[in-house]
This record gives sequence, structure tokens and C-alpha cells, in this order.
Amino acid sequence: MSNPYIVLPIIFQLFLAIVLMFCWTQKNLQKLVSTVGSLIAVIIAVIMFVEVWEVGPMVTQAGNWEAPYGITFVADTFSVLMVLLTTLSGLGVSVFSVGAVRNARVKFGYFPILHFLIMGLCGAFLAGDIFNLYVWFEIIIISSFVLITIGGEKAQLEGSIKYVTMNLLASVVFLTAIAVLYGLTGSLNMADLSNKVAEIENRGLVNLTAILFLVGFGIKSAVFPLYFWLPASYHTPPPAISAIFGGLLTKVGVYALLRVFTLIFIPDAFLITLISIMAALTIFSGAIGALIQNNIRKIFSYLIICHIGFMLAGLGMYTEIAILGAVFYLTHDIIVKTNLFMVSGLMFKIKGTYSLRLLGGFYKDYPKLSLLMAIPLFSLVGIPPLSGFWAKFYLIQGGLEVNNLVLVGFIILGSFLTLFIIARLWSEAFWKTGELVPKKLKVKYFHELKPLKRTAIVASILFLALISLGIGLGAEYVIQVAERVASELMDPQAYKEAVLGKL
Amino acid sequence: METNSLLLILILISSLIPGILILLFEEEQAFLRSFLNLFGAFAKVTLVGWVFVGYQQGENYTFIYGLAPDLTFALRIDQLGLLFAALSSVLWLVTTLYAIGYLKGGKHQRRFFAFFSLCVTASTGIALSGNVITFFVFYEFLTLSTYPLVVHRGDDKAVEAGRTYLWYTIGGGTVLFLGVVALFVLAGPIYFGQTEIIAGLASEKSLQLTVIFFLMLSGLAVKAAIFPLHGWLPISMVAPAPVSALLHAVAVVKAGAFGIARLVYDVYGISTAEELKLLTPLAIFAGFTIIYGSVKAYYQEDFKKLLAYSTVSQLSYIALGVAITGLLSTTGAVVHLVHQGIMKITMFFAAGNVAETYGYYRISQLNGLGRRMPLTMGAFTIAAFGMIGLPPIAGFVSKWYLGLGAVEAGSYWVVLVLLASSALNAAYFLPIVYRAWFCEAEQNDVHQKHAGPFEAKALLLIPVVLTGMFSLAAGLFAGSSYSPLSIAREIAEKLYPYLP
Repeated sequence: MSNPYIVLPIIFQLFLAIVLMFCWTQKNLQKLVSTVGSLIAVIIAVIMFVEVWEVGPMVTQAGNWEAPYGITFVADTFSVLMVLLTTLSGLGVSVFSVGAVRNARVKFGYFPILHFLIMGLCGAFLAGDIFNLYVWFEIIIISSFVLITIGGEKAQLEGSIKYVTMNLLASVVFLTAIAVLYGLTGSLNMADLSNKVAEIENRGLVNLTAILFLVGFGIKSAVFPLYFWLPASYHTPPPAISAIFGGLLTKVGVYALLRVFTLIFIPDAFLITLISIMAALTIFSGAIGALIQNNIRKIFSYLIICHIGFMLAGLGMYTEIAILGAVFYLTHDIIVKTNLFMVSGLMFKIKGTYSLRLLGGFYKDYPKLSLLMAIPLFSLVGIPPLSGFWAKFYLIQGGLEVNNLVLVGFIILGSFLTLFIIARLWSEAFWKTGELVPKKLKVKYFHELKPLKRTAIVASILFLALISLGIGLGAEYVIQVAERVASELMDPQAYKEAVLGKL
Repeated sequence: METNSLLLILILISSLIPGILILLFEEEQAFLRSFLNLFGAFAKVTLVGWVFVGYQQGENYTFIYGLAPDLTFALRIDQLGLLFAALSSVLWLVTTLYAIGYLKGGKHQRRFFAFFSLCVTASTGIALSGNVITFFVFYEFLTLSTYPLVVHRGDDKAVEAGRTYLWYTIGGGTVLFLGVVALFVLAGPIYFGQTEIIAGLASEKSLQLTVIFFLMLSGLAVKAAIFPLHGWLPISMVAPAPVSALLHAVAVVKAGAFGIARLVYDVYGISTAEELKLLTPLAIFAGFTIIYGSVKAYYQEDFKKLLAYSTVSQLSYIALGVAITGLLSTTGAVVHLVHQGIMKITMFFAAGNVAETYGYYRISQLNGLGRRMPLTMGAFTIAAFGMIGLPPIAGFVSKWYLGLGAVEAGSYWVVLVLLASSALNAAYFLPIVYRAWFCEAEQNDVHQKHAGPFEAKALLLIPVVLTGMFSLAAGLFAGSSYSPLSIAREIAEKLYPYLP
């Protein structure tokens, strides 16, 4: 069904960014516009989600050029789910930024760039054309590069070099893959590619292209062995920025993997094995990395990698149940990881350090805040009935169905280590008695902040914590959504018909 | 919602709500905290009693909430669950009294009582859960809510013990999770009591079922402290006395033992478990643990450590009773679930009293204590005699049924294990009793911390006397119609419908 309004999430973020640029010097106005705008973006996303849920995939052809020649935007359940999650965590980060981002950064255009980034994310999720997807990836990289360097601290610059180098490399690989694919099929439209790739006889070349895509997206989503840039850079920018990075940027890669490997390339036994091995090693290396770190943001960075492995494992099992598990995990992970980085920011504000050895005594000083922070921590672990539990349940069920016991073993190992890491973090940071770390020059401690800023920080964490509680307790509904997404991915007929018309 | 389902929810929230509220109070609001805690505990006992009476009159108690297609959160009452729920709620009430007295004036009481309530919620949840998934949910919840209690002291030793505790229990939980999901994939959702589902699959999928059984068993065996997965139990004795009493003699370890009983009786079913030859390894491990725990206990110098190893040994009586099939041994296993709980909690209370009043932690310090603390040591002596298996105390009843059951099943080696264990029990408990009553105290050794009309604080004394009396009464009135034994017998009779 054709509906031009599906580009609204993208346009609206662009509009927001432009408005924010006009109030360049009005810092407080910027904060207000960003918060209100993010709220409106959530409402738009909800309306779109309901619409797509009821009538099925919606399409718009830019400039009325018919597919497969024009640029197509597609909103199927997966896309709108991702857009909804993006705007939700965008709202969380935006409110958090009101409290946590220093004016020096706001002065250099923090808020406009943040909305450019979210625009890029929404665009990537709605793109129905592989080259268009590439363009959105570039927009994401450019805005994230500005965000990671904004403020210009030495560590930030060092982290950003690694970040950008690897991501540009990923783009080159991605672009090469698109070029090869265009050479093979003469098309860039994903629905059209789906039909054409299936007809190509030279399967070796198809597999090669698939591997190029796997590498390109693999770097983006930080899978083994291409993840080294992530823990080297994600802990450097301020917490608000690492929150949106940790929550969403790697997930775009996962989204692209899930999309491309269900729609365009149907993996054969070789690819399935390759993806499974990568997933297992990603889980393993992420968990081990997190186990030996001391800086809490580095721990969370490695946990991102570990849990990306879970989602990749869902793809590696390649059954509807497993994809369901991966989509559920993706849903839960976006909210929880965003929140965790915000939590790390709050911990830093309170104690002035990220080091697990120096942190301590939260529970004694802030018992209620500690309980609030416990929600995302233990949701991540997947203690039943919190959100992570259901996702793992379906992933393991999927693994057992296809008898992929190795992958099941790694998932179990990964979740065991995650639980152990979080429990250790909890007992070190919240239980142990800790002293106030000597004050640094510029940093204001939490209790010195204005009440409005404090409220903003706590409110944003509370907001995302409630969503993750909702995902866990209302698992019934999330599973229905994930089920619909999984069935649409495994049988993309409706997607193709929406784009190309009835055949 | 019907009244009957509402009752089940009320049983759970009667400890959940106090737990959450207490966390929100200030540390200083001691009266309000104690009031809420006791109110919750009384409410829970009353509610469980109400449901108990209703169940006897043939009422049906079920609460089912769909979490996802095929995955349901189910609470349901049956006799085994009811027995466990009654045990945990009554002992929670007693222990709450004890803990209020024990921790008076201590630090972090808010945290302690909050997690204490949460953990009782978890163990009643385990008792009431109606299917495997719900059981698992509460089982994990129990792990997390007990961890803060283990590390309550907050010193290095406690944190170290907490870490060991987490490695064991999280590991166990993970393995159990794998088993639960695998079972779900193989057999779909299983409510407790639907043994026909597994029975129907037994001939085709025997290998998978065997693997799943041992996965789940090893997950449960961690909490039930069966060798070689018992290592956490002696170490976590660093926790305060009420915690050791309730959690490491009743709630946590019983959750494991109860889980094993559920797995064999209500998931696989006795006949299927026998057909697949699943029970022999369990019997061997349990038998070995009984001897091993007793031998280790014999060599302990620390009072609480001795009790901990004795728990390791005594718990495996339950597992052993489950592993040997037959009406009598099933009765013995189920009744020991209750009997071991009340006897062991008495002993931990007594040890706590001694430590709190005189600061004694070692066996060698107990000389002549019987004269100074007659009630405490009297209760301890009853419980110790019960553990050894002297009539007419509770422990005798369960050992008697286990022994008869072993003879009935023709497993004579089990009788030998029981005899050896009784001898060892006598060997490590009798010296304590002897020291307490017949040895002269060294006079210069007395530093009484407590001054008052009684031998110890009243709030510490009442619980130990109460549970001591329970241990005696459970044995004396074993024949009456609502004794643990009669209920255990009814449960067993339902499990063996083909017997006359």
C-alpha cells in the first residue's frame, strides 16, 4: 500500500535539526525544542506503527519513479518497530542530555547533530533500496563522528580516529558489495534484488557478495573478529552520546544483516555455518572482554559485543522461532543498552569515576536511585520475568529446534557470564563502601547540579527502565510483534508485493 | 478474578509488599518495619492455613496468566506444594521474630528485612508454582534475593562467600534454564502432574529425556547441595544466624530438594523415571553425599560449619527417598522435607543464641552451657536426638520410613547408608550434647553479653523453644490426621494409585 507519510519520521528529525540550528545560541530553548520534538517523534512513530500493524507494509516511491527504478521507502513491521525504538531511546537520550551534557558541548551544536543522527537511523530503517541504505549509513557516520569528537578531549579524539577508520572501511566494503551486486543484477531495489539474486546461476559469486555484505555490516555491528574499534572508542565520549551509540548504532548493523540475509541472500549451509561461528565467537569474546575490564563503560561496551552475538546467533539458526528471539532481543537490547550507558553517566556524576575499584556505596547514599539502576542492570541479565529472559528463551528454543547445540551452549555461557559480570558490578559499585574520588576541575557532582538537571537525568533513566519493565511484563504483546516481524522476514512475499505491486 | 485465584496472589504479595515497602522506609523506622514484617508473616500463615482448609474440602486453587503463547505464569495448589508453603510461611514467621531480636541495633536492617521478605516470596512462589516455567522464574528470583543476605556483613569474607555463592547458584540456574527450554522444545508446556506427556515420549526420545533430566537435576542439585555441588553451603555460613537458619536450612536448600521431588514425581513421573533408569545415579550421589557430609561434619570445629555439613548430609535423605521408589520411601522423603526443616532451624537458632549471648563459635567452648542456657540447649538436644533418629522425635519418623522403603525396594545398601549416617550423626552431635550438659565450664571463660531475666533475649529464646517443640510434636503426634506424616502419606498414596 502506498503512503507518502512514511517518510515523516525522517523529515521531522531533519526539521528539528534545522530549527535547533536557528536557536544556536539559545541553549535552554534548544533543550526544550529537542525534548518536545523527540516526544512528537515518538507519537509519530506510534501512529505509524499502529497503521502498519493494521494494514501491512506501506511504501512510498520518491518522485513517483516506479520501483525498481526510483528510490523506495518501505515501512514494514520490522522497520516501524525499529523506528519506534529509535525514537523512544532518542527521547530518553534527549531528556538525559538536558541534565548531563555540558553547555560547552551544547554551544558547538550538540542537539542539532543528535537529531541528524536520529534522522540517519530512521532513514536506514525505512530504506527500501540498498544504495539508499548506504547513504543513510554515511549520514550516521558523519553525525556520529561529530558527536564523538564534540568537546575535543584528548581521549575522545583518540577514540574517534579508531571509530571513523573502521567505519569508513566498513563503508568501502559495503559500497564494493553494492557495486558487485549491481553488476550482477542491474538493480538496487531490495525487493527487486530478492527476485533477481535468486535467479543468478553463478552461486559462487553470489556467496562472495554475501560475504562482502557480512563483512561490511559485521564491522558496523561489531561482530567477531571485527569488533576491536568498539571498546576502543565507546567509552570516550560523554555518557549521553555513548548512550545513543551503544543503544542504536551497532543495532543498525544488526538490522541490516537481518534484512539483507532474509530478503536478498537466503543463506546456504556454508553461510549459516559462517554466521554461527561468528556469533559464537562474538558472544565469547564479548563476555570475556567484559569480565576482565574495570572501567564500567568498557564493561558495557564489551557486553554490547556479547549481546550482538546473541542476535547474530538468531540469524545463524535461521528458523522463524530463532529470528523471533533475535528480534525480541534487539527490541530489549536497544532500550536497555541505551539506559545502561545513561546509568553509567549517572554513576559518574555521583562518584566522579568510572572505575569499578573506586566506585562503591551507592546503595548507602542513594537507595532509591540504586533500585532504579538495578532495573536495567538485571533486565540485561534476563532474570525472569524481566525483558532479556524471553528473548533468550526463544533463541535457545530456536537453537534446540535446529539442533545447533554449540550455539545454544555459547548463548548459555554468554548469559551466565553476563549475569556474573552484572552481579559483580552490583556488589562492587552498590554494596561495597566507597569514598568520594578527589574532585576534578570541570566536573560537577550530582548533588551539586540544579534540581531541574537532576530530575532530567533521573526521569530519563526511569522512562527507559519502565519501558524495559513493560517489555518484560508485557512479553505477550512484544512476542506477537516479534512473531509478525519474524514471519514477514522469513516469508517476504508481502514486502515484495508492496514494493513491486502484485505479480 | 475469582476469590480462589486471588488468594494465591495474596499469599505471594503478603511478603512481597512488605519487602518493597521496607526498602522505601528510612533505616530508623524500626517499629514500622517490624510491624509490617510481622503483619505480612501472620497474614501469610493465615492465608496458607485458609487455603489448606479449603483444599481439604475439595476447593480448587489455580491462577494462570498468559505471558506468551504457550508460556504461562501458573500458580496452583497441590498437597506437596501446600506442605512446602506451610513450612516456609510458618518458619518465616518464627524467623522474623528471631531476626528482629538478633539484629536489633545492627546496621543495614532495612536492606536485610527487605531482601528477607523477597526471598520468602520466592520460596512460597516455588511452592505454589504450577508449571516448570513458573518454578524456574521463582528459582532464579530466590538466587538473587538471597545474595544480598549472604553478603550482609559486607566484610571481605562475606563478599568472597557471596562470590562463591553466585558462581554456584548462577551456574546451576543456567544449567536448569537449558534443561527447562529443552524440555519445552521437546514436550511443550508441562504443568506439574501432567506426567502422561513425558510418559508418551519416553520410548521414542529416551536419550533426549535422559539428558534433559540430568541437566535439570544438576541445576537443582546445586541448591540441594548434593556432592559435588555442595561447596557454597559451608562457605556461606558467614551470613547472620537468622539467614543461615531460614535460608540455608530451609528456603534455599529446600527449594532444590523440593524441585527434585517435583521433577521426579510431577514432571517425569515415577514410572517413566524408572523406565529410563534415571533414579539410580541420583540414589548413588545422594547416598554418597549423606556419608560425605556426615564425615566432614565430624571433623568441624566451628559450630555453624558443623551444622552446615550436617545439612548437606541430611538434605540428601530427601533426594535419596525420592530416588528409591515405593510408597514408604516417598512418604519418608516428603515428610523429611518438613522434619529436617524444623529440626535444623532449631539447631541454627540455638547456635545463634550461643554466639549472640556468650560470643562462642567453637564446639570446644560449649562446656557446661546447658546449665546456663537450659532452654536453648534443651531445644538443641531435642533436635540433635531427632537428627540421630531417636524416637519419638521427628527425625526418627522420617528415617524409619526411609529405611522401610529401602527394604521394600530391596535396596539394602541404602539401609547400610542410613545406619552409617545415624552412627556418624551420633558421633558428632552427642559430644556437643555431652559437653553442654555434663562438662564443667571453665569459670574464667564466661563473658555474658546479655543481662536480663532470661538466659538470652526473649525474642531469641521464643523461636528456638517453639521450633524445638515442633520437632517433638511432629514425632509424637505423627499419627494424627493433620501431621506432616499423614499429609506425606496422602501425597505418596496419590503417586502410587495402583497400590492397594
